[in-house]
Amino acid sequence: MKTKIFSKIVLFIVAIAVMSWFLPWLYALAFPAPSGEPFCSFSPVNNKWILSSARPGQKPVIVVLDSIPADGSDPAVTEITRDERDSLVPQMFYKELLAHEKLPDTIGGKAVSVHSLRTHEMMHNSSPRDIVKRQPGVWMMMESMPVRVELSDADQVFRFTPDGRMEFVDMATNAINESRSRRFTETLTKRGFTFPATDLSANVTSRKQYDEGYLMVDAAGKVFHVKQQAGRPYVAAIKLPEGVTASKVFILEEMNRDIIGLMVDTDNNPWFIEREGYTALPLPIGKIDPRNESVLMMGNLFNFTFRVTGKDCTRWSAIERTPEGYALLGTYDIYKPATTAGKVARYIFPYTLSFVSTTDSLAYPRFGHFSAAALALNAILAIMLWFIYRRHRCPVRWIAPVITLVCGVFSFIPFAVMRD
Amino acid sequence: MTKAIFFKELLKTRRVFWLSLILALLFAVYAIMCIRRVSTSHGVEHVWLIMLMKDQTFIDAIKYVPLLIGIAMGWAQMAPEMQQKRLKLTLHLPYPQNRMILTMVTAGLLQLLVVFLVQALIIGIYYRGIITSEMTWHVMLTTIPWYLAGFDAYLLTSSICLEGRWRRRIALGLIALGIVSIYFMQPAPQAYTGILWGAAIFTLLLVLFSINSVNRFKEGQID
Repeated sequence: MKTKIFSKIVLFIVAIAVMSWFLPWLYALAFPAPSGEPFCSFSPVNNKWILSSARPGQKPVIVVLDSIPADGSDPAVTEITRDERDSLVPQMFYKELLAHEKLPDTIGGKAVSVHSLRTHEMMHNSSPRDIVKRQPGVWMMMESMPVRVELSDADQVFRFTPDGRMEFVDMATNAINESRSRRFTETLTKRGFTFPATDLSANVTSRKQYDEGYLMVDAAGKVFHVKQQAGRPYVAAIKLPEGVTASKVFILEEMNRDIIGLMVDTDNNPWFIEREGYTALPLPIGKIDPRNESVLMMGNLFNFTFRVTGKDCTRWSAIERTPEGYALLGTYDIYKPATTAGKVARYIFPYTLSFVSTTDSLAYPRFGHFSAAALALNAILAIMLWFIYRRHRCPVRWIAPVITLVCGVFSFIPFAVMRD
Repeated sequence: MTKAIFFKELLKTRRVFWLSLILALLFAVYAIMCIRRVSTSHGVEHVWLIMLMKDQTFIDAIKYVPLLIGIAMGWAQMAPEMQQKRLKLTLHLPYPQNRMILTMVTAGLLQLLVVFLVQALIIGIYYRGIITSEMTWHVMLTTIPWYLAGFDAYLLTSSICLEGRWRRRIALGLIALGIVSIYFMQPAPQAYTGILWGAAIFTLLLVLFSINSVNRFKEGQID
């Protein structure tokens, strides 16, 4: 008898869980959220934000943000043409300007040429999906100083062993390279590296101009630049201010070699790691959580633009390099508007269950979007169930409506369909 | 009696078992041949490179094989019970009803375990020869959700076959579709590693679905 009741309980719990996942998924599939968020660039000509919007099926709109109210209300804008935009954002559209002989000689006191614009171009893109995922625990190491001019693919991988070693494995033979493992372990230990590394960043491809190896965060939160030069280790510690502990690093291998990488500390403050003096300089763009937010960084001759995309808001920031460090030029926040489908969903679903997310590469059950607004529908469905089950003598007569008061449509369907 | 029931179930599913084993072996060999083709044409380093940089495991070919085998095993074992009206006779045997269902289901699960283990061992042993143990575990842990989906598919198919009413069969079929599709939602390697124990316990709980179907059958809930 107990097994019989237990099996029924399990069946209904599973049915409710499946509905809690399936119905919101189906709803999102039927009513997709429109895409097409504006793209922002900071003009070095008028020191204002330029917004380019291109929604599907609509004419592209380009505006200059004349003033951004502090209270979050709509900014004053001036609509401009595409050609005007090209002149205001020469760092992006210099090829167009050059073709029409409109590229100026100087902008903001800086000499402008195609060469200087091209060599200062930087781009970094990181997504939480690429960070929050399971790693196999081995990483490839390239040769940064190859015999030939061109880089070649990595032929060694390394891992950190529990006994505090950096162990190299030859990919062709799957055998441990003892001499290289010993050399790297000794050099890392000499430089003060605390085993193992907690975060690593490299761009392992031969399709780049040069190789900077890895930026590594050790177990003590210090940052190290580690690369292989002619088979030998190159290890340098990055100077961090007192009390700063690194959490996440990103290596940048751009034509402009002044900046080695981007670092985020344990308080989510972003820093640039500069080659000169191997120092870290703070970036005045607010906090960044790369494990939950997508980060796009675009650098050019005049400024650096950051786009940090979170769950509800996209934050744009522009900064420039000054002799003292990095100074903020401007910020602009774009909040994601609630869609009609999203508003309606709050009245239908008391909560949602999903197994995957756009912010990681893992699968596990996650409940969210709890909504008290769905209580009204829940109550109606509970009354309907009470009516359906009114002639039943078993406890399900009152259990089904009570569960439906909480789980709403997710429990209503299983109880209504499987009432025999 | 337990041995007799177990033997009866093995006799019933012997053809599907051998066919499943051959299918699993063929797909394991096919996956290995694909890896060998890449390592022969581009060098074994290329296999490492693709695995580490592109999050590939090279064994996507076997992804839906356990699911297919699970459905086939469940169908072959339980469908004749209903079609040839044998379940009524089985339930009249002097043996506790729930233990009877558990023995039947255990026979099916053990056969699936043998098939899945053979396939996983072939792939694991081959991989261990060409890549590090960490990467081999990375690949093998990626396959576990696929095998769990196979066990779930078997148990859910069994419960659908043992159910006496079409309306409930359709409801169970939709629930089964929802459950099984969860295992294939996230293609990233080792995406399910954090919930493998939970998923294994959940799989064991699905045995109750078959018990529920048989209870309903015995209560006379038949179309």
